[in-house]
Amino acid sequence: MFTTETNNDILLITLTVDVLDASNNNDFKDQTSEVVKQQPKVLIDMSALTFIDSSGLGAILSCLRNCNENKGKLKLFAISKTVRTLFELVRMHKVFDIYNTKEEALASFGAK
Amino acid sequence: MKNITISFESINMLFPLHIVLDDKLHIVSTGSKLKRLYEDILEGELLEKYFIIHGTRSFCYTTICENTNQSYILQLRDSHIKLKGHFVKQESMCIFLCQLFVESEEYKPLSLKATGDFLLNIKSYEKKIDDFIELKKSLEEQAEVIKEKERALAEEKERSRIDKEKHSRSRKEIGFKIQKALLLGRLPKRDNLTIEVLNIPSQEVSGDFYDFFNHDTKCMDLVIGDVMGKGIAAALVAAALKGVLIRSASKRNLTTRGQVTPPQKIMKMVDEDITPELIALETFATLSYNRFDLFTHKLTSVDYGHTNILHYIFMTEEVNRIAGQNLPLGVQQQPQLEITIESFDDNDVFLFYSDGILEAQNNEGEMFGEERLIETLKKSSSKSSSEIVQTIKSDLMRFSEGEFKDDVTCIAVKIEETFSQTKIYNVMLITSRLDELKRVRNYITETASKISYFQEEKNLNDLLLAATEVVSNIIRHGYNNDPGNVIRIEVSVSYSWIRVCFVDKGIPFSMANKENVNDIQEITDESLKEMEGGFGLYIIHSLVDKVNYRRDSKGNNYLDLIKNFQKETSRISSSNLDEK
Repeated sequence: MFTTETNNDILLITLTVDVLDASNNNDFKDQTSEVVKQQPKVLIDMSALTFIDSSGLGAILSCLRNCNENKGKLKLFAISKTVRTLFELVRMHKVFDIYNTKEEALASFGAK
Repeated sequence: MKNITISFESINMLFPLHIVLDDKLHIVSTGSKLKRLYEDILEGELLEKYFIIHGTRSFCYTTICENTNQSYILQLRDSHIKLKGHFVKQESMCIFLCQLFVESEEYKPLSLKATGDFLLNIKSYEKKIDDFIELKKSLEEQAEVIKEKERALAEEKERSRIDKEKHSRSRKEIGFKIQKALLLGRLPKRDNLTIEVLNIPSQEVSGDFYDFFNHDTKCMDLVIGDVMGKGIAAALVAAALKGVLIRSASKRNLTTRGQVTPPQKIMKMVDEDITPELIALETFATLSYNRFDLFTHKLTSVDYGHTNILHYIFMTEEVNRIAGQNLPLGVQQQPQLEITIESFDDNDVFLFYSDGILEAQNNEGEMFGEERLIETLKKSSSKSSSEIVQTIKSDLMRFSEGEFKDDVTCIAVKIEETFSQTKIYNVMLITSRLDELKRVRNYITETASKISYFQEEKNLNDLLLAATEVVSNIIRHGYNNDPGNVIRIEVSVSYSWIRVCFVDKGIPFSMANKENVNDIQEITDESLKEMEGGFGLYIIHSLVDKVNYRRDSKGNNYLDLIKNFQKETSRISSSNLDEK
């Protein structure tokens, strides 16, 4: 579903599925809830994702809440056009910090 | 009284109404005239059987004999005939010598005078009695004749009333037959549009008319009109006008390239042909000539002051009023004809009607009007054209209580999807498992990407996203995540829209009901972050143009997602289209 790597103190989650919908949103929720506890700074690479529905969005929201509970931050980058459409439709672009590239996202955490 | 001897014959001659009684007051004999007057009197019977005796209380043989000066009035029972006279004792009998006693003015008996020609008097007296009998008879006959005449008169009156009614009914029937044959067109049988006509004739024949011209499977013309005024004159003008229309719209006038003559050209011919005649007759007609082109999905209308056409649009659930700009036919020649072009699609409904429907009044004098007609059309729009017409009829009847001053004509045309442009693609069945979602998206992609609109990624994604939300809602809420159920998905494509229909047997829940939708725009950014779900319905309603939900009696839920892919302006009005 995704791979993780840690760069300095930043946890990078790279999605490996192209779809995040009601069929796999719970897996994403369960698996991320463990990993985000370890790091306060989390980045999700959304580039592989071509389709997301409201359940998928709910899963990412839940991930954001988990981070915030640990006083951490969650940022997203490389969101495809179609996925972004849904984010904008339900105003998620106002809730998440979204960056175009990995570099921009890393820079926002003050990393190189 | 002195004793005088007169023969019995003389008594009879003098008193032809006399009665001879025995001492028990039985009738021994009667005078010849009395016998004629009252044939039922039988000798040997008691006098009182036939007569009521006036003038005395005690009526018996002894008192009669003792009071020969007393005059008596004897009245025939069951009759107004009265005899007045004296009793004369004769041996053991007595004789009632009498004459007719009539109280009316009509008959005054001669008083017998002892002087003069006694025989003459007797003769004339006899004649009087005969006259009286004649009079009585003739009076009775006259009464009978009068009665008979009265009866005959009443019969005659009734007969003539029935005749009159029959006549007027048959005249009316003939009028309606003529109207039906000449003025009202025959419904064409078509697969791609169904047509139903409501025609309620008023008391009189009128100038309402309509007709249909089938050009080919993709093209049909509908003309509806109304000639000013009522009665045979209006109907005749209408028949003439229709004749000109049929001639102008007939296939002879097809242009050489096999194209059907445009409506504005047909109407130009009609206008040139009939306007001078209408002006000469000082009459005019409102008319609407319409062409349904099922290839381009456009309705071209040439209107001459007729009522607005109502167009129910399935997609938006709104009613468009198509109003014309030209003057009524017969006002003046109109070299520049304005036309309107209206796009339509499957499940749309058009209403064409005469002003009789708008002007139908209730008992408070209020008119039915266009707004009511629009409401009736909206509420019945999902039904068949004949049901739509029936709904209009019953609404109209209820409103006006069945009283119509003018003819009511209303034509409903429904664009049928079954045989028209709409194609239903393969049906897909999935089980109620969330891992089927991908298969649903692949299936819809396969169908939709044949349409150029959906070759654009965003457009396709919107539809896929809405469909995903629907299916996951059905699985999670309708079937409570029970994987043993089935969902059927059908995709159909019309001229301008695509419809994805989801059928399930789960818990009924209307995703179409806007009250169930959270308005994301109303929620603050902070609260959005806390939301666990509830975006689904908002997403569905935001991404498609129409969401329909219904449940049938077998417990099937049907949810339709409809997306319009022909977003063009639906109406053009132009006068120069025929110059091309």
